Amino acid sequence: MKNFTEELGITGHLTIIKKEISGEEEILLDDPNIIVSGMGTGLSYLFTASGSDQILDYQIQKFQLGVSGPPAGGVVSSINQLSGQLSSVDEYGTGTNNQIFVGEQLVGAGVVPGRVFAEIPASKMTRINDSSVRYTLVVDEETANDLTRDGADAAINEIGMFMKNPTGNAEDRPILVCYRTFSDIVKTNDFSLIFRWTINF
Amino acid sequence: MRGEIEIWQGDKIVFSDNNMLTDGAGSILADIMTISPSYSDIPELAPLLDTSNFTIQAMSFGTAPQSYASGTSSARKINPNTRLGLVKLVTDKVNTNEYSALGLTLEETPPAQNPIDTYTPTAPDPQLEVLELSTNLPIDPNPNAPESPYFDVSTYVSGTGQHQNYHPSSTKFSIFPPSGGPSTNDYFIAAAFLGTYPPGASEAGTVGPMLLTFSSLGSASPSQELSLTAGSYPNEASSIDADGFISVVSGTNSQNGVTVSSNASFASNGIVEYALTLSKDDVAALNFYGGVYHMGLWALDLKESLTAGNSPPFAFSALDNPRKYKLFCRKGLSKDLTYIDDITQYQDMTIKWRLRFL
Repeated sequence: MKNFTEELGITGHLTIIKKEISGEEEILLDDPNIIVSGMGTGLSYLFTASGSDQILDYQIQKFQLGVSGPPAGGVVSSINQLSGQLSSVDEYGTGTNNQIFVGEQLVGAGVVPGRVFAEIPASKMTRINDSSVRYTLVVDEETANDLTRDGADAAINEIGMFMKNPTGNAEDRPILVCYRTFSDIVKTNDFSLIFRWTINF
Repeated sequence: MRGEIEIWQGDKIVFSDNNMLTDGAGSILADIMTISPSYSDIPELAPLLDTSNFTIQAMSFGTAPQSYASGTSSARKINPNTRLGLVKLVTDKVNTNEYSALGLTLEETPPAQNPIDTYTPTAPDPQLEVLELSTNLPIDPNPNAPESPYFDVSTYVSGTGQHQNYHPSSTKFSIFPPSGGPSTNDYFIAAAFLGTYPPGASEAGTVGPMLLTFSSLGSASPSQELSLTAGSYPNEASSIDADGFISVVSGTNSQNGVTVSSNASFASNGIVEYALTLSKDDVAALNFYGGVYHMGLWALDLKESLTAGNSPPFAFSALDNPRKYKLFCRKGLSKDLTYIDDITQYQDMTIKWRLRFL
């Protein structure tokens, strides 16, 4: 039997736009993404009345960037974390315009502390029709620059969005709900990246 | 068809099939994802952020167009004069002083085949927002008057397309206020058109059991009467409103209304179960008013609830329900779920409706 998100046909589409300081724009990606099992887990908490009693905790309200995509096991719906998420506030950048949250993440049946997320402001969540929502994630010029791993330059190549806090924990405890890998982007302060992510429920 | 429904009678499963998620489900999820956090700063609107506004809150049952259109169901088999009177009754329902002057009586037309289990409900469609689209009633159901004008029940009463609940005296007085005194007959006539569950056992103990007169199976067969002594479970628990929405209730007793449950592994198996038990009298009444060809699970429609002039939180009320509902998932049936050869053999029926999120 298909699961709820498959039956309902929840799908996602991600467009990545590179925007130079000069204003010139280039579309780097315009493809579907996958909805992962965390969406079903989060909605299970909601519909069983077992998690948070505040609906805002079920909103997609955080995102992460990563440098190790695609995952070794392939891009499948059971993915519950990025392969190589940015791991510190400094990696997102001290001058970033994104609000950064550091805390626990739901990963499968466990909880992983010390994960770093960028917040998605409510003004960047747009209802575009009766059952579709567009998230506009801005990785500005000052964000995620000069990343390194093992002494070498690292490129951004994966992104995930997270439901805020479905279990109703005292502090937000996000869970991954959609995920996408893409070709390497070495981020510098010469340009910003705009991720337009549309979820069709 | 999507989802999973089981119908139990005693310890036997009498029906099992998948259901269909509607576009309304997607709309509700989009509501969740975009409701404004700023409401939390406005005391009057902060209750909108409670999760109960976005989850399943009711179950309902619908019949088929033929139940309305042909006048072949037992309840709606009434003569043309009565129908004309009822058109006026429903049209003027707020002007109660006119009711008693109508002089309406229930009178059966020549018998037709009944019970009937082969009506054809509206075809499955995820865009459906109600259980049954067609609730047209011909003013004259006489086969010799095929061009009879009709009226659409939903024009007069919201939430039609499903079995209504017009019998219990408290509901009747809410819908048809007693000022000026509508006669008892008027209630039954309204119920005849709009449908009803029987009164709860407590009320039946006061006013006497509801008596259903099932029309004959053929011209040679006599009509059958069924006295509903057990009463309705949802009406006894006051968990059903006048539009036939049976509310989610707390606890585990599915006779009180729709219960919500999950096992300890819900986060890994994603299963939530909605259960409701109807009494044998509920089932008999549903058959009497045309049978069950649709079932629906409903969440709240916040926009409609607000525009109807209500303020959150929208607490369920059997008499004047501030909740307006949005269809989340549905099930259509090609055969009447309540069909039975011997109407004296009805049993309690439990609906177990499972959603799988993983």
